[in-house]
Amino acid sequence: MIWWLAAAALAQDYPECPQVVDELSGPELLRSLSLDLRGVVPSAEEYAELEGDQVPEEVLRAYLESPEFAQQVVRHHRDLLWPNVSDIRLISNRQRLKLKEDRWYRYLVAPHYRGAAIDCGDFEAEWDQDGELITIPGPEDGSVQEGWVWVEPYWDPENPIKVCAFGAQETDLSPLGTECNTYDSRYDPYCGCGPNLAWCDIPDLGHNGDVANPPVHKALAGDVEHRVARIIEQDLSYLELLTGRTAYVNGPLVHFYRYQTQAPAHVRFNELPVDLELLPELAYTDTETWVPIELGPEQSGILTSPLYLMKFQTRRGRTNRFYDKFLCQPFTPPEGGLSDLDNPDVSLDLSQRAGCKYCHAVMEPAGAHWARWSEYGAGYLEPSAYPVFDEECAWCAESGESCSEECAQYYVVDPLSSEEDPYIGWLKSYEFLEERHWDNPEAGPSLLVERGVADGRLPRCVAGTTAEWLLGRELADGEEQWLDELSAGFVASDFDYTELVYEIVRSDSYRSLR
Amino acid sequence: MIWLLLACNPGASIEQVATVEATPLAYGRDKKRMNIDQVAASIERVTGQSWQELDESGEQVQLFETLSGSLGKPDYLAATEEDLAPGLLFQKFLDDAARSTCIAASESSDVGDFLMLMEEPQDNLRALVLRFHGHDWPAEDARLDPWLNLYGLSETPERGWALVCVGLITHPDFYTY
Repeated sequence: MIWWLAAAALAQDYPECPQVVDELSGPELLRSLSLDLRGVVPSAEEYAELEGDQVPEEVLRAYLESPEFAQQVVRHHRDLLWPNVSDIRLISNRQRLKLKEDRWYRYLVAPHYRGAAIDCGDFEAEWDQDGELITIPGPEDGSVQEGWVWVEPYWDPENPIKVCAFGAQETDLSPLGTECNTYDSRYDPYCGCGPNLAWCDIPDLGHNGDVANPPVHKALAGDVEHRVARIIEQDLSYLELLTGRTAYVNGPLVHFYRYQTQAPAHVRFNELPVDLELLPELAYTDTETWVPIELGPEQSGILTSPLYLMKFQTRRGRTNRFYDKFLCQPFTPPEGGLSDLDNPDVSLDLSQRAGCKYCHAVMEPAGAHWARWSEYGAGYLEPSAYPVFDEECAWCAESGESCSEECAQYYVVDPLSSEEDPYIGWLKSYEFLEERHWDNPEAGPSLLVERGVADGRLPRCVAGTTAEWLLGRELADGEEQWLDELSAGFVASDFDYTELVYEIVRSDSYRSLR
Repeated sequence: MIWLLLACNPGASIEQVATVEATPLAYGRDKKRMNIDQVAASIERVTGQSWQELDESGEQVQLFETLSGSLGKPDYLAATEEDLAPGLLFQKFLDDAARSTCIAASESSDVGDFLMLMEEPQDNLRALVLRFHGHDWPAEDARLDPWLNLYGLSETPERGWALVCVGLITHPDFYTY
């Protein structure tokens, strides 16, 4: 009997001595629950209502239904998503207005307006009978200066400012045929900043990452945080967070999407996967008003949000983050390091290259789920506009003619070796992609999520990271069975994240300190 | 093998060892230090005061927000994980916050709602220890004595409870759970 017990114990794989643990008293447990689920210690009244060493079920449920709980879940997800892209320049410096004395002017475009890098004169602007701005000779040879106009800027319409009249022009389409809200307008003297300076910015707005918490950058993070909170507040499946189509916008984000994505700097937004017609009427100053919007079927929840795409700017970066934080399957070399690194057969296809393929054999096809989401940007390469093979791009690459910006940006037009020749004219994201993986780009990251659900990696990982958040430690080897149970319960609850947290905080592990 | 099993709990019988096997979840959780947001919210909850000061332009600024970077809160650019070590800088700012909020609470018209809840010092102390630390200790518990001694060092009740308040906030039982 004794031997049987011992053998049974070992067979159950409990090699560790259980830790010495102290079970929490009622007030201590209430305090822990309140801090973890609401972010604050209990009130005196809540302590007073406590009876004995048990925290009543209704108290726990009330905590989980509080708006503060949703914010704690948001906070936990910040650690998974790193929601800050304020180091990224969103719009071109050529759209920037600079203050000189009491007048604002587009300093980088000034030579195209005035023939020299100077601002306007200190007089109110006038137009001739033909509607042309009247200019006077400027201080430098051949230069001219116009006057200024009063403008109600979109960021502070209550306080008009003086803006040099060239920069304040409002026309959409210049006489030279330029669309004035695009990057192409930078050389066109008939283009300005648009109505209320909509296409431009000033340093304090921080589009170029030069102030802390700039409104648009902050809003891009706010979009994702509202998506996380929505899952909790509306009792939705956690999978909605990773596959859904609902996004959030506030005033600065609406303004950015509507007026400023066509003159980008570090990142590209073409094609912007937001129907501008569906955007709510919010002023730039409506920073605290958040409105949900429905996006297109190409969306995969936060995994195709502008924040995620800009924070993790390459397909590999996006894949790495998803595998690490949502599948708990980080790409790390084996113990002892990578092998076969001396192999002279160096392929551009990392899924085949010696050493690299240890990770990239998985990472490359997985990254293809983002193949239609532009790298270094947050645009969607819609299949009809961006076919897998583009004859025009192939032609320019093979004829030596100049390729369009789209071809140069998204297609293989400049092969580095003969290994790339078969892919000339192909979308870069399809290069070296085996045909059996072509479903991945067409279905997008949602397919990756579905596969993670089907084989159990995703629910197990979400359950594990959530347990580690609440327990404040990594899970022990002996807790595998518990993790399996949590994961199974999470699936059975239709991925109800609140129920997952409920199960964890009701566990013996949570209710005792080691 | 038996000895190996019994070594886990030298006082246990074979039957008890079997019981231990049936409850593999007794791993417990680690004691955690509050993050900065929890510290800020909890100080405000127990004192009714937030840690703030006037900036150069005369506007109130929340110091836990302006100092969040120094206090280890991640911005997800330069830092991606919150530093939850109770280091020297954390202790220094916690002390500053405790002094500021506890004194403000003791001088506030709401002092009766936060620091002076009961008439009898012993009862009041028990209530404060429960609110600040989550310990529900009986009146005769010796662990209350040092706090009562601290209270007795001051000349006025308001100042005495402010002193206790500072001590309770800077004690590890406040900022850990």
